[in-house]
Amino acid sequence: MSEVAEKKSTKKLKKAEYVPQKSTDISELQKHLQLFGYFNPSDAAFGTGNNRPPQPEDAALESLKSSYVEPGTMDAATVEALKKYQEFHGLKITGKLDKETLEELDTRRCGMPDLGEFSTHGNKWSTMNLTYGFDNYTTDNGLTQAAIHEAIEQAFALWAAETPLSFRRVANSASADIRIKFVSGPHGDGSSFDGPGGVLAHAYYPPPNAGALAGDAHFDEAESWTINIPTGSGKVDLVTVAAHEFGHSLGLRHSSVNGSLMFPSYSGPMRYLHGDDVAGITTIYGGYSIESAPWIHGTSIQVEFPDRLEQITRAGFYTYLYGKPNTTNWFHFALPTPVIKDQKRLKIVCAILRFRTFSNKALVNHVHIYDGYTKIAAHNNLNLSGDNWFKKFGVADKPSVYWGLGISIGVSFGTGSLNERRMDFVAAGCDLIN
Amino acid sequence: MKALLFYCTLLCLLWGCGTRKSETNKPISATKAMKEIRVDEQQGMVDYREDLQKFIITYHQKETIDGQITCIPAQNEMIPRDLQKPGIRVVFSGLLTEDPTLPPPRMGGEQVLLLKELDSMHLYNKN
Repeated sequence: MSEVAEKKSTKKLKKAEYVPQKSTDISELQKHLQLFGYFNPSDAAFGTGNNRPPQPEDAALESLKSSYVEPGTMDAATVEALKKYQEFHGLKITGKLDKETLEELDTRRCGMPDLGEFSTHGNKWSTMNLTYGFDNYTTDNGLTQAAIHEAIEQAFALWAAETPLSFRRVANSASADIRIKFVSGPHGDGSSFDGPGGVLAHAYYPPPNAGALAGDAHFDEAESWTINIPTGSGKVDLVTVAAHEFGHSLGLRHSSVNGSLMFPSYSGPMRYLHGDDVAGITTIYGGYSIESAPWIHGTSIQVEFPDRLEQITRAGFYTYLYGKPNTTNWFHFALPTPVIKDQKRLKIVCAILRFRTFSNKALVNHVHIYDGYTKIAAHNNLNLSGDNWFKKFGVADKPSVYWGLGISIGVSFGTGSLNERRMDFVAAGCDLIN
Repeated sequence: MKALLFYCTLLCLLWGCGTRKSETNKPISATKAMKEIRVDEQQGMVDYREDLQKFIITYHQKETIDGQITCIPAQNEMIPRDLQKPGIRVVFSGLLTEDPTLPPPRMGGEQVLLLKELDSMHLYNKN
């Protein structure tokens, strides 16, 4: 081969190494990376230590960029996820959709995420719109029916925020897909509860399984159930255990990932899904197709009690709020909401917040979601601190939206330095579906 | 000589194949193929499975929310009559094995095993 021809050939080979990045190719790549656990679907962080210094603005910006996925674009989050994939598969870590990576992606997969340790039972519900009802209630620790309704709805909302599933409470529990009851000892299903401690609850896998019991969740009345955090000695968080049991009701088995909601052990309140839980449930039911995703800037935040703030600063895309010691407050966002699109009324999947706090002296405790003046979801006793760059708060029954969405955030500030009592909000948004 | 060597080699090969074939036909011991757990003075509860028309024993996997071992007796008569009461607490010793003929787990965290041998069973003192 002549020298010229050889150079041309080499040049042609270099071009062929990198496949043209069409947006459809990238979307497929993103779906694959999401399914197999390479994205960090949420950036929850609980507790940052007492004296974590504030992040420099550029580092915070990079953190923001890396947690947001823009469909069809090789954005920072997609590049990072692709690098993880390449590292895991022993490929050259380029962050580019090169030929070797494409060949690896094309290899037939078994459907089990590389980074996930979840396990599925095999059964799944044939409908995405599930109902639940209560056979009875507990009165432990002053729990009322209304409080229990809210707690159970909060538990279902965790799963609703990541899937096409919706969960609607019905008055007649006998007709519900998922029947909930508080019982002790033998209770007619061949799996007696064993008193305080031991088994806390159990739930049946989806149909066809266990006949009429399929999907049902039973809670041991002999336990001391609470919705308060901290729970107190000997008490069990109802929201956490319910969310775990509903994972079984939906078809998930236990996960080996310590820190996931489906890990077999209870180690205190955990009112959020781990990436492994999300990977597991979306493997069974898939994700949802967003029809609209309106967002509002952090500088639009409204403060209910301005006199309880020591300082409020707006800079760039942040609002920095410094609470006075030992105070609570409510912050509000009003989301510009397209309620009708293509002549169809839209439904809400979840609200999303982007925020950070600089210590556990500044906590987000409650997130309430409103449609007009009607509260449609309540996430309570969250105790969120640290970096939360894409925190979802689901609405269990995915109702149609009529008047426009509002998000109210209940916060608390303890004692500590000014910076420890700092909370930054970047943006608030929501996912709407058809 | 060469022919003798050839036929000897052929015979050896055929014998070897035949031996391997007969080895693969040898039935695998049930206890070797299936997982076995020997329990000793294990606390559990008796319950009645309507779908199986059998009394069973269940026990909790420690430090789990809902981990449970469901032990289905090989014969109904294995559980003493005076202990055949749903919700009764017992202490038992015996051999549990996996058995593919048993019904699958119904609940999250459940493992269903065959109670192949029951060495002892008595009421739990703190009932």
